[in-house]
Amino acid sequence: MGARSADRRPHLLYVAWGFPPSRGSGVYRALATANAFADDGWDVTVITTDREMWDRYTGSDPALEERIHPGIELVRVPFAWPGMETDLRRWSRTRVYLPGMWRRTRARLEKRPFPETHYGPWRRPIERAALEVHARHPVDLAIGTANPNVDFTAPWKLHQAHGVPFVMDYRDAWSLNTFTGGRLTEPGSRAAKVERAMLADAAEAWFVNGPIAEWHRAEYPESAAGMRVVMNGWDPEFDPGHPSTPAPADRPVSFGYVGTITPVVPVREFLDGWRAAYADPSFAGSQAHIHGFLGFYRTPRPDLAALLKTGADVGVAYEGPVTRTALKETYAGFDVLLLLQGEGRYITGGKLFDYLSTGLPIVSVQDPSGHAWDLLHGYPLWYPAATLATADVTAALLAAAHGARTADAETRCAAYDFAQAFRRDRQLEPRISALRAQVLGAPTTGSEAPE
Amino acid sequence: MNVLLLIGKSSTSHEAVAAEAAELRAQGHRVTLGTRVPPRQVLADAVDEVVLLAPALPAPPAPAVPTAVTAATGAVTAATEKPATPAGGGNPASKVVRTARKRVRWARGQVSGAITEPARSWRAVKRNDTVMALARNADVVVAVDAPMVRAGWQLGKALPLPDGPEVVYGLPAAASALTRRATR
Repeated sequence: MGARSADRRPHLLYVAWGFPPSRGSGVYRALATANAFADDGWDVTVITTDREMWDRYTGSDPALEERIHPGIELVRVPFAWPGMETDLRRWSRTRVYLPGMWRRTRARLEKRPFPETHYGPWRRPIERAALEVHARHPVDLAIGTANPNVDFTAPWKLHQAHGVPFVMDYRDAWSLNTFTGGRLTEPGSRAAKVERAMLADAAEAWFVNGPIAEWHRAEYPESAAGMRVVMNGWDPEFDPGHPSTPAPADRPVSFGYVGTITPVVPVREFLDGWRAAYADPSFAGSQAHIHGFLGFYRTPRPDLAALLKTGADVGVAYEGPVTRTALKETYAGFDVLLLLQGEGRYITGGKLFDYLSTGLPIVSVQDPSGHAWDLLHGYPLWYPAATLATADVTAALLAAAHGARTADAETRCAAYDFAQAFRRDRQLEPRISALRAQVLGAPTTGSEAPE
Repeated sequence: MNVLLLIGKSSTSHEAVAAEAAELRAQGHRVTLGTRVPPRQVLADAVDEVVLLAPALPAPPAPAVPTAVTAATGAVTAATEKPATPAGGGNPASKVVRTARKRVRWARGQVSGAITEPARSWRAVKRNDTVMALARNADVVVAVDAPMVRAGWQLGKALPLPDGPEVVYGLPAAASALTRRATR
């Protein structure tokens, strides 16, 4: 490491496969983290993929690129993604005539440099890029943000070659299946061994919620001391700047849901509860506006679309996905937000933070074992259904509709204040301060964010 | 622009293809369909022209009605239920026969999926003058399902760029192919 001086600008190397113009859901954490370090006075170099790849395979959002801090240097390392190639002119004869063999061979070759399907081949190029960055501008701290987990390899390489401290920022988890609680890697497998070795060398490992961190502390007790919770949060541009306002009495209450709906989301339970609530005179005419993808792809799953249609006669309408740039405006049209979540102790869900940013009443229709349930304790405008039984969902919906009209200014102020703790920058501040102190020997400021 | 969709498998969702075709037409594109599977009404209505390729495959069954919520009681009723699997016989010989049959079926499925059907689909396309003319005039050809990949790949070879169409696999690829075509 270079000479320490509290006055000089520390240099952060940040490795994020998904970075603008990517429009994937994970890009916001990566963007916010890199920007937060730059705002704190660090020189920041980001190693990421070539922008053409996003245009070609997933679609890109050029507007997001404009939000990258102007001081950040981008090092774009090309990434080949043959599995996503849809241009048939680029397919080899082997792939066309022997697709099964092509897939199996490809999968084996991809995992040779690093045990991760699709992403393994990116290891050597980003390691080389990291060493080059360090050679021309010594790095004080490196952070890799997963997934993909290959992002951890370049910081690890810098640590092995030059002793640079590094942080593993788990946006998700490598070995833990956050949906089922089971394992994604076999104990003793190559991937499990690599993860253990990386964690042992890492200065810190960040997790997005307490339950995931706890699982890792139990699984890797020798590395538990460096494990921290750095939650996701809502981006400051969503801040309405004031508490929410009561729903007007001269029109029905407008409920809104924004998020991907998959078969694990308790839509049926919600519809049952909604239909029963609709019979109540105080609820009549209420509308539920459902936004988001139905399933994981652009084409809506017919079964989910048909299920939602069964609520059309009681004011439930599916209104398609909404872009992130239009989110704030969309939320502004709602009086109450619907938080429908499937089971999963390790799931928080990014939409929870966006919901909190609005300061609006939130109805939870979810299993109480989820982490979102824990976070919402204390939110003054929270109306949880005690169980997924129809009567409980109905009671929560009726209470929320009542709250939307009658909650006083003091309660709404308290909701707004509660949400401020979940701003994304508030989550990052304590860690950035601590890491600055670690690399420069400066005193720390700020306090730990809530878990 | 002209978009040609190719379908070579009975199980391909006609609703999903129809939704994409409708979106493309709403954007002002002309959408034609070359298919080995007789299209259901929803799909036939969503495209400008349909060419049925021979040998045709059986039409897909109408999609199952999803689980519905009954208004009066709030009770949930499943429209379709998987029939119970018959209990396995105790005879070891019959078990061996069943396993062998299962493996033969699997092997035939592999050969059919990787070799037979893609070859048939390509032959069906190249022997049909109407669909070949549509391909020549198309800006984008979309192999909607796996059996049509070889046909799409061969069309790409037969109709080289820059005059030939963009040839892609999968409905979600149509939008980016149209963009590429527009900038070519």
